[in-house]
Amino acid sequence: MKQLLLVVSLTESFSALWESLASAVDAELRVAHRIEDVAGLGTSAVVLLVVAGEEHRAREAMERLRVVAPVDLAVVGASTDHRLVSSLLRGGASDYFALPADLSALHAWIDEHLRQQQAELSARSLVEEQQLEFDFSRLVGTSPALRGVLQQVSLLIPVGSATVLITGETGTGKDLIAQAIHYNSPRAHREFVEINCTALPPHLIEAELFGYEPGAFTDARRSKPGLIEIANGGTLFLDEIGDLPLDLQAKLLRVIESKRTRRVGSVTSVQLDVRIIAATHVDLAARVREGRFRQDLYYRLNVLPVHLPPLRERASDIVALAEHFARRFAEEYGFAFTPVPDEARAALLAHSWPGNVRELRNVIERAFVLGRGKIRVENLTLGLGRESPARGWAFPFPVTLAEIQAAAARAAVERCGGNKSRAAKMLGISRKGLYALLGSQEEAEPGSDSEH
Amino acid sequence: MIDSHTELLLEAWKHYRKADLKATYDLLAPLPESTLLEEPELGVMLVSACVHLRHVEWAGRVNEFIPVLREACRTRGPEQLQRRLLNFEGILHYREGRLGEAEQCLLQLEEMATTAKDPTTLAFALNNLGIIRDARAEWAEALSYYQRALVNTHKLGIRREVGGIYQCMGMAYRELGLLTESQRMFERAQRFGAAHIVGWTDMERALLMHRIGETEVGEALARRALARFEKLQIKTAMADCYRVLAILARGRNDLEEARRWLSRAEALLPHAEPLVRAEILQEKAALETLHGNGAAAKRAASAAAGIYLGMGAPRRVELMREQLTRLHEGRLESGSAAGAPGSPS
Repeated sequence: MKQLLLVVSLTESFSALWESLASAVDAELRVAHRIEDVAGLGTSAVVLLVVAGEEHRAREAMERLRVVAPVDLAVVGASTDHRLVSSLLRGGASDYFALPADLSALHAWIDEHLRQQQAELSARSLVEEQQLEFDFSRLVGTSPALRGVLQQVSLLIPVGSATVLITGETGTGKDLIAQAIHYNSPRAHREFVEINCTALPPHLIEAELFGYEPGAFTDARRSKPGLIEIANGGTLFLDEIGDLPLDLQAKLLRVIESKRTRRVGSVTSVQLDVRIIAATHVDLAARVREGRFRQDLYYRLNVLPVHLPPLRERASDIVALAEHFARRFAEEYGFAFTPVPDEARAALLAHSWPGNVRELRNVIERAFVLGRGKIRVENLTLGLGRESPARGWAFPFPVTLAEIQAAAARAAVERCGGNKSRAAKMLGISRKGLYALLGSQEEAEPGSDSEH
Repeated sequence: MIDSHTELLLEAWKHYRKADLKATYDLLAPLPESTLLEEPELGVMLVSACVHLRHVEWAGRVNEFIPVLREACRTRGPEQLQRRLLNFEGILHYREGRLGEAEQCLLQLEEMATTAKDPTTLAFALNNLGIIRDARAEWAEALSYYQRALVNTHKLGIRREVGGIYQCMGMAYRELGLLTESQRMFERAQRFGAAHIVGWTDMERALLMHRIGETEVGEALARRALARFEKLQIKTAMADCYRVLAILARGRNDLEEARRWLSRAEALLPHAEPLVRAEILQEKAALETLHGNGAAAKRAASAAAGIYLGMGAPRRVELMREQLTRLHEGRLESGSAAGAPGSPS
């Protein structure tokens, strides 16, 4: 639906212009000659009051118009008398344009106001779309493990600002849960700000989180708000919190305890109302024992803990997820959707999914591309031999330590394009040690008694 | 009372609002410079059309025109017009490999947009500043800009920009080695992205797939991107796609196919933007290294290094040197070295 350009004209001047102008900004035009005729239209329109030749009535007309159309309005005239202009601006006009000289500026004003209105609508619809996307009923999976987590999460949502700690292996969808909490909460229309604590080097992450004032350090030429401050009113998602440097852990703790944040180099602090959601794939309690993570921060973050089960513990979701991805790829690659055949289902169910949902997604996409839209069991690459963004490998158990070492050696050689020196370096062992591992595997395989 | 001047403005606005840049260009390009300066918004729309249509050949004319247009905007246009022009200036400098100048424009724009409380322009400035850091191979710094641009565009509900920023974030995470994070960002880029970024997302995601060993998926994506760019005849993007296909073929150890793709990329070098040109030459150096053609590798690497340094991206030269050293050592390791490859000087 087109946006509305409402022209309230006290004169016939410039009447030929409005239609062309509305067409240029792609808006629907309504022209009224009496203020009473615009009641009810003003709040959703961009409004112009045209007073050319009737400038003496301008102030009074504008005041009446503002009552029925309480939005930013511009006055358009022919006079450039500065007393008139200042009177109108003091009286509440957003701007005044004298035609024909100010035509370009008038267009810019209309365009900007239409865009602002459109932006408000779009921002609302973007949030509504996110709310639908992250609606719990739409998250794929019916396993008791997943549904248990979702039920737990839905109970956390009303607990407005309490900190949430999401744990789970890589690829389990911690980010999705964080977004689901945000978009199902009353904070949905405010910022969701996420930062991966691994991505930025220590010298940048402090500036990112807390912001700074000019002169705080060599490169700080202007002030910059931190992400904590930007997230005020909304949600701050700190992914891979286990990698946050110790000194910043102390600063973050102060923020959580005081509910205030202060830019680096500033003497004043900002009051905060932000929900912090932290996530990690590491065992934070173990890091606390090792002295690598502050115990007090751990307790502060772990107020509402959520643990996401690995995919192997929610086997009943594997096929549903595979079909969900197959459907999505069918749409993306332009093939008709074909259900996952039985033998492929069996293979998927037999796999241990160390890379979790992320690994499953990659496996399905590859099989989909190779099978030109059909998932075939021979195209499912499961287990070792393919580098995955997910951490961890699949090993059928029981398995010996020697087999794991040999598999690691083979994978490292493959990852290094056959370069054994680099592979040895990657594994932190000598070339001789690498050859020993590769050799032991070659010898072990024929007589192996492990269950494959 | 609509005179021909006003009619021209109205028609140009109409095309521009509908993002019909070809029509905008066709309408404005034949006009005398005096008309474009008398009504500077016409000039800004023409510059915008030139920038977005990515016609490298027009760059010379636009570069000469911008300083006078800037003055016209300052004296005759609303302040918003100056900000728009500054953004396009930044993009043009970037496209032509002048990263320092581009950054100066965009930092100034960031300041102007902040002062004017213009969140839309601020979001564009931040995203473009991130792209400059990306071109310098400063990915963590790029992420910092993207992060802020994202918050702004989300707030403004500019869907297509949200998609574009996620795509940039996907690239930055990929180069930082955070592949899972990169994949997540590309998925979001696809979800939010408008048609105009689909090809770019596919091409960048193809490189991610190469990194995680999913060569077949990477090739499917790169071919899909190529088809899109061929249809749109965006030659610099086509050249980049050929390079990506060469990298994917090299990943399969099919060096001959890699060479074939790369020769197609080289044929488009005159149409490619500097960063793309340098990356094509870098890939040529990599292939020649693997073929054991040391002298050819050195020539290509030196040419690439010259472009990177000219752009103000010395980190790219370091990374190229590291890559070529690794490939050379790998070749020596596998016992097939026939001659020492060159490293860039």
